[in-house]
Amino acid sequence: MKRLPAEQRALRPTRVRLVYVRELKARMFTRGYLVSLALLSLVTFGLVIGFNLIGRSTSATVAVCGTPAASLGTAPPGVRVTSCDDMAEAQKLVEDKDADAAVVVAGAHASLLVRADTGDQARAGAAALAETWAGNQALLRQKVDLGRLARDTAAAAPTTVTVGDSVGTLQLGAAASLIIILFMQVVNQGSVIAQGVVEEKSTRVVEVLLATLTPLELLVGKVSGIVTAGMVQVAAMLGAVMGAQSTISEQTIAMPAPRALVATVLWFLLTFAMFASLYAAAGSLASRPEDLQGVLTPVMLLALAPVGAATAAAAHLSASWVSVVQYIPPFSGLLIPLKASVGTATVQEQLAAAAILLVVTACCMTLAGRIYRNSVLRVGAPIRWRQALAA
Amino acid sequence: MKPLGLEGVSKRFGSRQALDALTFTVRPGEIFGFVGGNGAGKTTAMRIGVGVLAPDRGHVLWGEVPVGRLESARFGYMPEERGLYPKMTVARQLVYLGELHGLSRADAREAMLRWTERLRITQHRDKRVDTLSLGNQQRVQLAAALVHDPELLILDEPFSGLDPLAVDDMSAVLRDKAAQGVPVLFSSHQLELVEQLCDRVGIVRAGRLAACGTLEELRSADTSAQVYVEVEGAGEDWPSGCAAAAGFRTHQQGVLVDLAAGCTENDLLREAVRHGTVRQLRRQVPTLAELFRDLVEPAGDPPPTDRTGTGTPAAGKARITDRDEVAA
Repeated sequence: MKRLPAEQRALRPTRVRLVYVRELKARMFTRGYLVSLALLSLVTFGLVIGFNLIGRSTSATVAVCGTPAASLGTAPPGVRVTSCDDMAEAQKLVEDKDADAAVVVAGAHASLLVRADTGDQARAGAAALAETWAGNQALLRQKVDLGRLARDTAAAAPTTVTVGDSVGTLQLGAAASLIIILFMQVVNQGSVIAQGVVEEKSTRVVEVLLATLTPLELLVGKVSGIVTAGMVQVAAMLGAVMGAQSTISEQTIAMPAPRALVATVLWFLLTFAMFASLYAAAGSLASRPEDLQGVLTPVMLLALAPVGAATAAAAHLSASWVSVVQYIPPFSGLLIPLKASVGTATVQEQLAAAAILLVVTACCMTLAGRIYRNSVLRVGAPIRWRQALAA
Repeated sequence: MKPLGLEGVSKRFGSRQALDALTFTVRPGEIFGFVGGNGAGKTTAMRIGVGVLAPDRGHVLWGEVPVGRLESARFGYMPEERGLYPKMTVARQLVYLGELHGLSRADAREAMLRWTERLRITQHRDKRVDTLSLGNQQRVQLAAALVHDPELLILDEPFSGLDPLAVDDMSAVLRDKAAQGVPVLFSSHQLELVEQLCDRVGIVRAGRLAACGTLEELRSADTSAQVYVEVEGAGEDWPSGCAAAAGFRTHQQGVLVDLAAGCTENDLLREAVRHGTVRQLRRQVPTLAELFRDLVEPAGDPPPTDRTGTGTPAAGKARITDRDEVAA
């Protein structure tokens, strides 16, 4: 194929900025976008708080009176221990459902207060607390120094040794869901990009634009505008999650460390750049929105494959296939940050994978620019990938 | 102002040769009409002229320099397929396009105000384009081509779909621009308009320039120019025996005669008087539409070589139509 004059490939920042700003305004200053942004943030905020409240109400509350709550040792799992003054208050707390059960110690005798609807967890918890008290009383009667007993027991406690290099699923949880959410965003925003390109093509405005812009300028400005609008949405959602967390803020959830977060975002942007160009190229092949689905399918599969791979790999990050696949784009864009977030990717691994991804992204963008240039002015039946590349 | 020249421009789409060494020039201050059948290559030529497409071979020159992005930003272009952002308001759209062409925001705004006024769409400035009627969208499209005060206008079918008032407005704008020295290239199927408006006409057939020149030049080059003769008292087929007539057909009250090679009106007259009283004899001045039909018919058919066989509605005698050499 004939080489284009240098200026055809040049990017003039002012033109790209104009395209970018227009795209951003066209996307973001619409009622639909603002409403959905507000709704999305509110719903996310509400969901996080709601789940938290539901989660909290499943823990049982047991009131203890007549003996300090601390003297009963650590609370049984799922049970929150509060203290109260006497039998009357304990009875009131349980009746008013401020507590699910109560342990009342009077003299050498302990009684359990429950309601008919007290859950098994609360009953078991209260019984365990009462048993601990009874055991302590028995030990005291036998002149045992409870403090020393506790210290000696602690000194003899077993230590836990983790063997093998597998990664706990709990540790992965937050990182994996964040990364997978970001990648689902690739698919979402990718379709928006493709639609935007088809829209310009079907309204034929592209010809007016190409009289002053190079296809690459149009492509870059447009894609970055749409990506920005999409990222604002993601940021609003993350903001809502963090905001909700901080209002509840009893314990912070296991968010990935800031460094891992930055790495994840960088990896994401790089992979996104690759897919955005492919989606734009796919969009330029169709002339009408209804033809879009057909040309998008291959790209969509390519974008979803890493999510599938990451889901499969999450349980076995140290599997041997992962150590090979992690270098292959687009899988690397998901697997490497996943490994990095749990600290099992070495710097060398990360750099090597980043270099490969960078090269592949550059190739994809060049290729997409060519497909876009060749097909953006053609109308009619969808163009085949091979035709667009060859022309 | 500088002329626009296409020099030996060729373009191929797959197996179809859209343009084949097309060469012509639009001079400063000149309105150049571009006519041709559907698929003749007009749109491709204009797209290449404005830099939307790159030619496979040949050059586009603006003055002395090849046209690049820097140059084509100074052009005003109206594509055949009208295209604007449907959800943007007229004002925003025009300002945006002005800025893309290198105007500052303030200048673009000022130009938008000026052109919406000139094209009588002031009341639509704040409306979205998709709410406008087709004719008004067309006016916006023209404004989009003019908003940056271009030094060259390339308009693909600017008159299609316009009502007579809009045609007048559009014509007036083109004349104004040409009067300012701007070279104006436009294509149209409305040949009467082209005839009225254009200083020069280029007729394209199968990606090549079949003819180019002023209307007068085209007419004089039309060697098949026919002679209209009314002979009172003669039968309808009186020219059949004349040596000076290569072919003929009835037309109005008389006949249209194709002169045989080497014969003039005098030779025909000499024979005509023998059949009756000659009431009228004049050279038939072809309209652009007739020239066009002659040149382009049989429209869309394969290359010049097989054209002799395809009959014309004229006489049984073959007509001389191979006039590619006429091209400037």
